[in-house]
Amino acid sequence: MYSEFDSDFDYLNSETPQQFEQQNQAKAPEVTNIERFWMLTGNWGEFGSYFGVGLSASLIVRAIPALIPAWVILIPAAGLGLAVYSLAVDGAAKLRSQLILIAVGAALIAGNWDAWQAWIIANSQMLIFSFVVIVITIGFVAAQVWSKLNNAK
Amino acid sequence: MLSNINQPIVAGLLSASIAGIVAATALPFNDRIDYKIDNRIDSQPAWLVPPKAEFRSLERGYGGIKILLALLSTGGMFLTMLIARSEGEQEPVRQRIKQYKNRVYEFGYAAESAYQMSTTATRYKKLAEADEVAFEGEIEQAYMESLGIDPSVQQPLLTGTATLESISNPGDKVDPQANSPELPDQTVGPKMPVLTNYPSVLIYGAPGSNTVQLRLK
Repeated sequence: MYSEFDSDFDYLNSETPQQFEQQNQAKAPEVTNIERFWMLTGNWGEFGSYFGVGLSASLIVRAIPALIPAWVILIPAAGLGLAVYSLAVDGAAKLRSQLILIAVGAALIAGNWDAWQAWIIANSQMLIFSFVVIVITIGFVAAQVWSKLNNAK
Repeated sequence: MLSNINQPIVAGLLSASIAGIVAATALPFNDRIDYKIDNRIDSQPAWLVPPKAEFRSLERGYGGIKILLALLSTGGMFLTMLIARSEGEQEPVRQRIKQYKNRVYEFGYAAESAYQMSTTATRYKKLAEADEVAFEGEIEQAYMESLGIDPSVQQPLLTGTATLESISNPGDKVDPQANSPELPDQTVGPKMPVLTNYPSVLIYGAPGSNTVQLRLK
């Protein structure tokens, strides 16, 4: 009787409530914009939480100089453990551990830019010397390898 | 249009938290000392100031504000995550309920339309039947007028019990109290056609003229 209707109305011809439900469930699930919004804000909130925890912890440690030596050991140790864990697991745990590593690492570097800057200035001579040693060493090794590879000529 | 009040709340909380983290990140933590050495003015944390430097002024750091902003932003981010995750779980259920409501509305609309269609069909059917009855009445009236009988006048009624005699000779059964039949003389003319043999009959004539024109098709 309603064959002239659009196909969107086909479910109206259901004879039983079960048919009505089945026809509704057969449709492909669609992600609406509001659902996408909640997923995005949830992800940003999670990343921000990790970042904020790392930032807060590092700043509090800086405010109590007596704690700095302990955290200089503890933070790299925890980071290393988390890195190993992220390599060992799969799925959501891997993604989450990598997210924590990235967020906390970014917080430690960006939130303490002045401390890193001061450390670089204080150790500039050692850093420059180390850089020069590395460049010379790599250059020497590369020249040796290159000369051996071109021995036939 | 906002469908959920938590949407602007979460958006505002996320924006404020991002701003807080940016501010907490950008501000310098330690005090810095402005000093002069070899006709050069510089600014460093206290432990980087050379011993021979000439003290000029102190730039206050923002360590406390950085910590406060970082803690507030962390709380804001955590709250944003909690609300967004919760809303993200509830939203598909809301969407499904909304779809069901729409379908209920569509179903009601379709049912109402079907009811109106059925009612209209029934009404037209009754109108057609009434029109047919009226049309047959008009034909009958025209036929009686063609015979010279006024349909509005009470016709003489037969009385008594019908017998074989009364059937063959009904004159004695005419009610004398009723109006006299005053039947006109049967004139010789064209016979009345059987109208049901024709799909369309048009009958017309001037009122009171006692004449009727038939047009057969």
